[in-house]
Amino acid sequence: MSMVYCKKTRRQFLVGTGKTLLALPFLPSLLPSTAQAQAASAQQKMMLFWFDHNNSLTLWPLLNRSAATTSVGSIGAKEVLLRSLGTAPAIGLPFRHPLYQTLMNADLVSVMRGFDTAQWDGTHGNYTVAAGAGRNSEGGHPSIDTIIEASSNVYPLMTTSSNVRKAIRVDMLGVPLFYQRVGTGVQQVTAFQRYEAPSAYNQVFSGLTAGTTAPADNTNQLKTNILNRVYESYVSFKDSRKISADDRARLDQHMSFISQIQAGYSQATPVNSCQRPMTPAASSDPAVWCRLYLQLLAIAFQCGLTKCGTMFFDTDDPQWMPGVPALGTGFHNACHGGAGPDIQRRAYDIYWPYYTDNIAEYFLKPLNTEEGSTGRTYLQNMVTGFVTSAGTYLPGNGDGGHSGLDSQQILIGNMGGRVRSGRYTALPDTGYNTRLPYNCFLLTLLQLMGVQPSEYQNTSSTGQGIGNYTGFSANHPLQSRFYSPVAEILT
Amino acid sequence: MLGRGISRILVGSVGAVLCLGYVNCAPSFEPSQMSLSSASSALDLRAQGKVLYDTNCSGCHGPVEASTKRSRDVDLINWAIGNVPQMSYLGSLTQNQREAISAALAPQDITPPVMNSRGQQIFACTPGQVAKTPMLKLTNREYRSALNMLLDDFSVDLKNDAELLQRFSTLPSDIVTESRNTLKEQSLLVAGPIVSGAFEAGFRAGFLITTAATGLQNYPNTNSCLSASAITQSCHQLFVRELGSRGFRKRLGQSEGDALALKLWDATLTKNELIQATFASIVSMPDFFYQIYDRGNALSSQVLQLTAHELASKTAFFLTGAPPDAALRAKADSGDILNATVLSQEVDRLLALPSARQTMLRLFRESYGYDYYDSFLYDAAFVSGINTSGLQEVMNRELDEYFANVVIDRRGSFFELMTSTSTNVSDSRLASIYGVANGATNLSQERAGFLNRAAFLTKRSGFRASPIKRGLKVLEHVLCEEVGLPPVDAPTSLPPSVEGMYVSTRDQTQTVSEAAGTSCVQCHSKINNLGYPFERFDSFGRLRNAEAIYNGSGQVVASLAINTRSTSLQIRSPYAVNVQDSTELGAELGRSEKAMMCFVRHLKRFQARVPASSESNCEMNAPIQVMYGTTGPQGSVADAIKALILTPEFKRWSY
Repeated sequence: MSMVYCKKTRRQFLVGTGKTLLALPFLPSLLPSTAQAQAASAQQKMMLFWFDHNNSLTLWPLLNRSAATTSVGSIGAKEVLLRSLGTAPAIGLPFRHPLYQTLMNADLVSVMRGFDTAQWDGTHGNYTVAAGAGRNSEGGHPSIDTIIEASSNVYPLMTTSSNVRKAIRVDMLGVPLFYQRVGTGVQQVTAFQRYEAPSAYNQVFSGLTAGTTAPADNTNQLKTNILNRVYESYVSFKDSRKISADDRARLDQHMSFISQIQAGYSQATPVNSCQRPMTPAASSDPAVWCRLYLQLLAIAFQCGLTKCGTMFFDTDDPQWMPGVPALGTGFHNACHGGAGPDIQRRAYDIYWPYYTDNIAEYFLKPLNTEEGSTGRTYLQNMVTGFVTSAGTYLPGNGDGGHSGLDSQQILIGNMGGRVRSGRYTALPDTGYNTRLPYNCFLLTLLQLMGVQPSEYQNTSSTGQGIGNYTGFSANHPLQSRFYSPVAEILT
Repeated sequence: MLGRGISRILVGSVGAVLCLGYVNCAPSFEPSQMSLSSASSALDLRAQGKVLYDTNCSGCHGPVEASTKRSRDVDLINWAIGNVPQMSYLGSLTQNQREAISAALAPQDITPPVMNSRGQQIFACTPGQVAKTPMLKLTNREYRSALNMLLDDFSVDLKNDAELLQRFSTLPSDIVTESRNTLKEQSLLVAGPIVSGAFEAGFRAGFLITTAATGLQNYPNTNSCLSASAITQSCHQLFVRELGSRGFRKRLGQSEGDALALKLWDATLTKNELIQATFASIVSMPDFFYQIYDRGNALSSQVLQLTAHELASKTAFFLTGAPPDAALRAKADSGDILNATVLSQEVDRLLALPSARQTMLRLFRESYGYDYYDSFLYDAAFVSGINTSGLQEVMNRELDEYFANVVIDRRGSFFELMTSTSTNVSDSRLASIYGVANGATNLSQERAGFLNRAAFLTKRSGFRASPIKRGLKVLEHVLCEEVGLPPVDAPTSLPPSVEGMYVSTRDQTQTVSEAAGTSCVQCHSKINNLGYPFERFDSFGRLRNAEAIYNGSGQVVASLAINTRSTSLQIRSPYAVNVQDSTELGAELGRSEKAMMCFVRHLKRFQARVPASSESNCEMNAPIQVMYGTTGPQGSVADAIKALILTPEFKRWSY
C-alpha cells in the first residue's frame, strides 16, 4: 500500500526546512530525456452512490457489531469475512440482486461500521457529496468529488485529455444540489438532473468516436522537449549561481517535480475496449433516466472519460417506479418519518431495493469484466461506494434519515488491491460522537484516488475541509487517528 | 483555563506543538540527541534546549527566537509527542531534554527596551546586519501578473483567453494557515501541482502569442522579423533576448541572450511551435519563476548589493505583486532607480496603482487575519433572516477597502488606521448589521477603526460572543504577543446558562478563566481585558445595549447589562491603560508603540515572506521611526512602507 500520510502543511514542509529538504531524495531515475513506455496500470476510479435519506442501522446493513470477532488494527476494531456470514442478502434486503452475492463471495464487498459525523448530527453533514464539516449552508466546506475534480494529482494538467469530464454527477433528488466546490463562495455543484440524460450523453460522449478510445494528446512530445530545456536551465542555475544550500535543496525539489511531470507523459494507460453508446431517445419516464444514467456512467468509466462519478438517490413520491405502489408523500418526507413509521419502513424496504437492483444490473454488471490487460475487472480496479447518512436513530424515531452516528458504509472493489475488501469491519464503539470521524473515511477514499493531503487538508472554506475536526471533543478518545486514513480497511 | 474555539483545531493538531517538518513521511529519521548536565543552570538549560530545538524542531517552526511555538510548556510537548503519530519518533527524547526545549521556548528575560531620542521604543539594532532571505518562488498572484504582463506585450486581450484562465484556476492555492488564525501567501511553497499547473499555463500562453500576428510583428527590438512566415535563427536570438529580458526582469546582454537562444533553438520545429516552446520555456525557468538577487557586487561574504534591475524588481513585487512596469524598467535600465529620490518617487507612483491595493489587501489580511473564520454559523432567527452565505467575504472586502483607503488614498497614520470611521458599505446585509444605509461611506464612532468592524467581531459565531476570541485576536495580531496554546483539557466553551440564574458572558468568562491562583489567569488576564470592550457588539457584530441570553432552544430568556470597561497592561506595558469601550481601545492601540512595532514586524514578514528576525531590526527601525513621526503627529503608513524600501538593508541580499 502506498498511501502517504503527512499532516504537515505545505509551509511546514518548506519553510526553513533546508536540512529536511537536503535529505529528500533526488531521483535521477525520474529524469528521462525521452519518454519511456511503462507497464499498463489501471487508473484509479471511484463511483459513489449516495443515499442521503437512508435506512437506519437496524435495516441496512443488517449486521450487528457482534458479528465481527477478529481483532484488527490498534484501536479495538474487529472484523469478519462477509462470505462467512451466509447467503444473500446477508448485508440487507436492498442487496437482493444475485450479483451482490457473487461479489461478496469474491471478497469484493466491504462493510465498515462506526463512523460519526461531528458537527452536523441530525443533518446531512459529512457525507459524500457533502464534506468534512458539512455542506455549504451548514459548514462551508467542499465535497470530496469536487476535491477530486480539482486535484492536479488525479487529473494532471498535462496528461488529461480535454474530453475527460473530471467528475460526473447525477442528481436524482428532484431538486438542485447546492454544495461547496473547492474555492470560495457558495456554488452549485454542477450535476445532471434526472431529466437531463440526453444532455449528459452529449457532454460526456461527444468527443468519442464509436468503438474507439479517447483521442491521444499529440502535444506531449513538444512539452517534453520544453521540459528538457527547462530542466537543463535549473541544473545550470543551481550549479552556477550564488544561492544558499537551502535554496539549492529547494531547486532540487523543483527539478524533481519537473521530472515527475515529464514522466507523466510516458505513463501508458490500458487500452480499454469501449463502445460509444447509442444516442438516447427522448423520454419522460424517470425510470428510463435512472437506468440510462447508470449505463452511461459505466461506459464513461470503461472509456476512460472520467475517474469520478456520483449519483444521488432521493425523489418526490416515486410513483414512476414500475410495480411499486405510491407512498402518498414525498420520498424525502417518508424517509424522515414524516408520514409515520410504516411509510418510512416501506420507503426503505421497497424503494432502495429498486435502486440497488438497477445499480447491479446496469452499472456493476458491465464493469464486472476485465479492464484492458490488467488481469482484473473494472470493479476490482476501482471502488464503488454505497455511502449513507444512516445512523443509530430508529425508524419512526424523529429525524432518522441521517443522524450520522455509528454509520455504516459499503464499498465494492478494492482499488487494485489497496483495500482489504471482503470484510465486515466494526470500528470501536466509543460512544456518542466519539467514534472515528467520518472525515477519516472520506480522506481514505481521497487517498485511494491519489489525492494528496495538501489538496484536502485545509480547514477553511477556501481549502478542502477534510482537515476540519472542530466539531469533535477536545478529549476525543481516537484523536490520534484524526487526519489519518482508516488503516483497518487498507492493505 | 478556559479554552478558545480554535483550541479544538489545535488540540487535534497539537502536532503543531513540536514536530519536525515532514519527518512523518520519513519515519526512519531519528531525533538528534544531546546529553544534559544535571547541574545545568537555567541559562545552560535554555542554551542546550535551543540546540535541541534547532536540530529537531526549527524545520517546522522556524528559529527559536521567532518560533510559532513560543511558551510551550513541557506538558504540552509531552502530550504532542505522545499523541501525534508523526511526532512519535521524538519519544526517545528524555524528560530533561524536553524540559530544555521548553526552557528555550519560554519567554526570555525582559531586557530594557531600546529608546530613540524622543523616548520611544525601537528595535535593538546591530548595524550592518542583513537578514538571510530565501530565494522566493513567485506566488500564484505574482506568477499570473508576471505572465500576463508578458502577454500584454503581444496583445492585451490574450490574458482573457478562457483556456488560460481555466489553467490558472487549477493552480493550487498557495495561501495556507501559517499560524493561529492567519492565512498567508507562501512564496516558499513549491509543490508538484504548482510546477505542473504553472507550466501548463505557460504552455497555453506560448500558444496564444503565436495567434497575435500584430503583436509578433511589433514586438520590440526584433525588427519585425517575427512577421515572416518562417523564423531564422538570428530572428530567434532577437526574440529570446527581448523576451528573456522582460521575463527575467533584467537586461540580457547579447552573449547571454544568444547563449539562451542557442539552448532554445530547434530547427525541427515550425515557427509557431518554436515561438510557443521558447515562451513556455522562458516562463518556466528559474529566473522567471523565482525572485533572486545575485548579480550585484559583493559587500561581504554572502551579502550582495542589488543591481538596479534587482532593486526595481524587488520593489515592484513588494508593492504591486507584479514585475516592474515599463516606467520602472526604464528607471532600472538607466540606473536612475538607484537614486534615493527617484526610488522614493517610484514608490509613490507604484502605491497609486490599482495593483498596490491588492497588495494592501494581502498585507493586512496576513497581518491581522481578519479573513480567517473559525466558523460562521448562526441561527436564522438570531440574525433576523439575513442570508449569511458569502457574507464573510463581504465583511472581508469592507476591511480590504478600508485599509487601502486609509493607507493609500488618505495617506493615513497608524492612529487613523485604528480610529477612522470611513467605510464603503456595498452590501445590504452588512448595512443591516451596521444599522446604516447601503452605500454609506461613514460610520458612527462605535465603529471607529478596523477592530469594530464585522469581520473582526464575528470570530466566534452562534448566540454568544466571545470576549476571549476577540481579545486573543487583538493580543496576537495587533500586539504580536503570543500566549501559546491552552492546556489540552481546557474547556472549549462556557457552561450553559442555568435557568433562573443568568450571568452575562463577561461575568461568566471572568469567573471561569480569571480565578485567582489558577493557571488560567496567567494568560486570560492578558487576553480577556482586550476582549471585554467589544461586549457592546453581539456575536454577529451588531451593536447592542444589553446582552440577550438564549436558552438551548434559541429563545431569549433574559437580558443583562453589558460592561465594556477594561484595564489592560498589554497595550503600554508596564503601565495600565483604562478604556471605557472598544472605541477607546482602538485609540489607545493607535498610539501604542507596541502595536506599531507589531505592525512593522508584520510588514517586514510580508515583504520577506519569512518571520522577521532580529537581524532585520535596523531595517525595521526606519519605518517605525516614520510611524512615530519625527516631530509631531504620526507619519503615514505609506511613508513607513516607503522608508522600509529606502533602507540600505532592503537594497542588499544575504544568502
